[in-house]
Amino acid sequence: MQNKSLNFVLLLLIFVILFDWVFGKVYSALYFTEKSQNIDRLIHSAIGTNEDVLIFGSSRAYHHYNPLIIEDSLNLSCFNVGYGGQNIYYHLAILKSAIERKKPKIAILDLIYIDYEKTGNIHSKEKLGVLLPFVDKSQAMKEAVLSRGATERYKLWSSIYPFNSKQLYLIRNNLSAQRSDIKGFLPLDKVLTKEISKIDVKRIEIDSAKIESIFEFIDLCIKNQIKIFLFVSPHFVIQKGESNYKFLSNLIYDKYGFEILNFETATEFINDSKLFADPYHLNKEGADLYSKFVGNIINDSLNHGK
Amino acid sequence: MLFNSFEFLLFFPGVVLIYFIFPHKFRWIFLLVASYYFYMNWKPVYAVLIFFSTFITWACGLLVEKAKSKTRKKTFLVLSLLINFSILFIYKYFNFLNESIYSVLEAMNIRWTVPNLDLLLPVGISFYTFQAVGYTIDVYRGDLKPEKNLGMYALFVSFFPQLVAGPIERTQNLLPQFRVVHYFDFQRLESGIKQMIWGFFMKVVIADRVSLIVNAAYNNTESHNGTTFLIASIFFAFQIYCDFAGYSNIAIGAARIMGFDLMTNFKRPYLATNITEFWRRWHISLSTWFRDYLYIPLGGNRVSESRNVFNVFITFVLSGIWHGANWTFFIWGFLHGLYNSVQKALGLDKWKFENKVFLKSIMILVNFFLVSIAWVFFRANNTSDAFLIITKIFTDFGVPFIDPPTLLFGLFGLAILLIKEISEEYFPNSNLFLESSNPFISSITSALLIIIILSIGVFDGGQFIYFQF
Repeated sequence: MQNKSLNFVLLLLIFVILFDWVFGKVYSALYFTEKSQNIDRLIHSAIGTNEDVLIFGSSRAYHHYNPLIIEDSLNLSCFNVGYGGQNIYYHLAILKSAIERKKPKIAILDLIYIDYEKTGNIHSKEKLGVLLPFVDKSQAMKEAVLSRGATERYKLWSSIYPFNSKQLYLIRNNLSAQRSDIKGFLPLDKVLTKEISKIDVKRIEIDSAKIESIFEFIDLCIKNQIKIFLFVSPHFVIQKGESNYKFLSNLIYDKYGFEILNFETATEFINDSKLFADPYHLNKEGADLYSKFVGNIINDSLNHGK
Repeated sequence: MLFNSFEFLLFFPGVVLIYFIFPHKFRWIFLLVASYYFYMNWKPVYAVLIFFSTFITWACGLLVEKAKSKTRKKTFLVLSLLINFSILFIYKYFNFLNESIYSVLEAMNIRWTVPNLDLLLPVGISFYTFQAVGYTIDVYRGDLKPEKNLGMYALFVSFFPQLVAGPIERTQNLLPQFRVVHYFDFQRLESGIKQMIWGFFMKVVIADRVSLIVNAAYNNTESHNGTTFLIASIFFAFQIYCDFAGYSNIAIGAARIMGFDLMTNFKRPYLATNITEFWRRWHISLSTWFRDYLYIPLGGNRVSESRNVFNVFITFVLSGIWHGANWTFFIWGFLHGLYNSVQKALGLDKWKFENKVFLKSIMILVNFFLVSIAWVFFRANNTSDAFLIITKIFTDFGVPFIDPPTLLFGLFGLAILLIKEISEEYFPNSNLFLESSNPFISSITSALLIIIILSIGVFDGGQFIYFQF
């Protein structure tokens, strides 16, 4: 009986290692061949960018910045690497990965509260889990994933772990999914219809680690001679009181001598519901208008050497 | 430290290794240190509380034995119960009672101004309190000799595999095992590993997966229709089972690897045909605790019919309140008391089902339905939510709003659970898959379960439900 049990333990070890390797390979193959909007965009953003202009940010970035319009304005290739619900930790990882391959000439970072707000576990480094499938493909991705926690390094002994809970998507997306983004840009067709009342500015608690990451993002751009533009794109929500971005803008101005270009309450957009899909996102019409704005501003800046 | 954390996967093998390297006479000291370390990972200061509870029950046990008169023995027993239940009351029930009294008096236009206590409930306090109190009662009854060695007794109260969510062990079963010399045994390793793997499967593949559906529905009662709540409520029945039985399996498996046998805590409860049988299969260590230390001392069923009904109700209601200070738990316990009394009155608990597969299946489903209705109260955030959910289940039909991948992953896990439970229940000697005597088959099955855990387990599912009790 003791021998049988010893055999069980040894066989279990062998089978776990073998199955983990086999399933990991299968999941990886399925992951990198799928053509879904989210994942194929993510794969290009994480390990495939070679464009001159990269647009970083959350869902507000990928709904607001049309790379085709920016390409027309600047005569440079452009890709929107925004990812819904992500924060500065993710944007920094994507920038580092891009620099590993080909340094972009311009980086546009669309900021939102979660990029510098203390949010507990919600918008934290935990969110970098989406980069798990890329740990073997880029040093920057690996570093980002390892920053999630001390035990992440050991979890990565498993080849399956990076693809945890993705199996149904892998199958579905390999069978039927297609990309419909425009160089990473995901336009919204809806038009905002409901009434929005004025709300007080939400007071937020600043996360110093996130602020440090914003500084690291800027430093990395400066070090690599990447022209950086920090934007806050328009909100439909009309807020009372001083903008929370003012604090961040002042911090950046004090350290680097330039400000965030804040279009949070730009008159061209404010109160114009036909330009918005919801209170926080521009629709296609609004995004195109805003992208022209952004293109012109960057063009002016480049022409004037600012 | 959570069983479903990576830290535990490092901690446990380390403990096992050092435990077997240590000479026998030092092992209990090492286990005691490891157990306190395990517990202090939540909040170090609560180690003081568990030690205090340990010391009181240990000292009272010795004083009970030394006391010459019955009255003095009783005094020390009452002292032990009073101190331990007072701690439990302050941490768990004070705010609830305070708020309840406030509400009642407010309705009578009387102001009540005792402030709530801002205390965080120590993990597993109900479990170790009941285990320690059970020891004092056993000593008082003369069922066992008091333990002289405080350290050894402290290990009994804090033994890390079962410290925070049971099984609530009996002194006669666990304490003597700390004195037995355990040798590393591959058979124990095999069966312990299998039980732990199955426990992890129940927790991270089923419980934490279906909890995504349950939480989405139960935390947003206004927005969901009855069909969503019906699915969420069925899933909650499995969530709480897999969460708790999963923990018990990991605890029992971990202890077995080190040479200790903990009591069985669950025996396929949803295959019970009536409530009495359900309670013989569900949280066995708690239901037997209540049976031995409350129901039987109250007279059990050796009393008049009306008194027996009262005994049943009081036992179930206290069992409900044991879970937490909320009216939802009270109603949950009351419902089980009601089910039990009605079933006994109708004689349903005496029914035999040999060769009546269809009737037995119907009774299993009816029993599952009744238990699930009670679970609605257990899970709901408050009683009005619970009533709203039940009303919606019977009146508000529509297309369920559930994330399809979560549903499919959940159903996949449940299908494996049902196959295992049905084969164990009705074909106990089949020794299929995990239980196969062929190490090749059982190791492949175990490895595949680990692969399923890695593939579709929820790794950030958080702590076990019963830790809050």
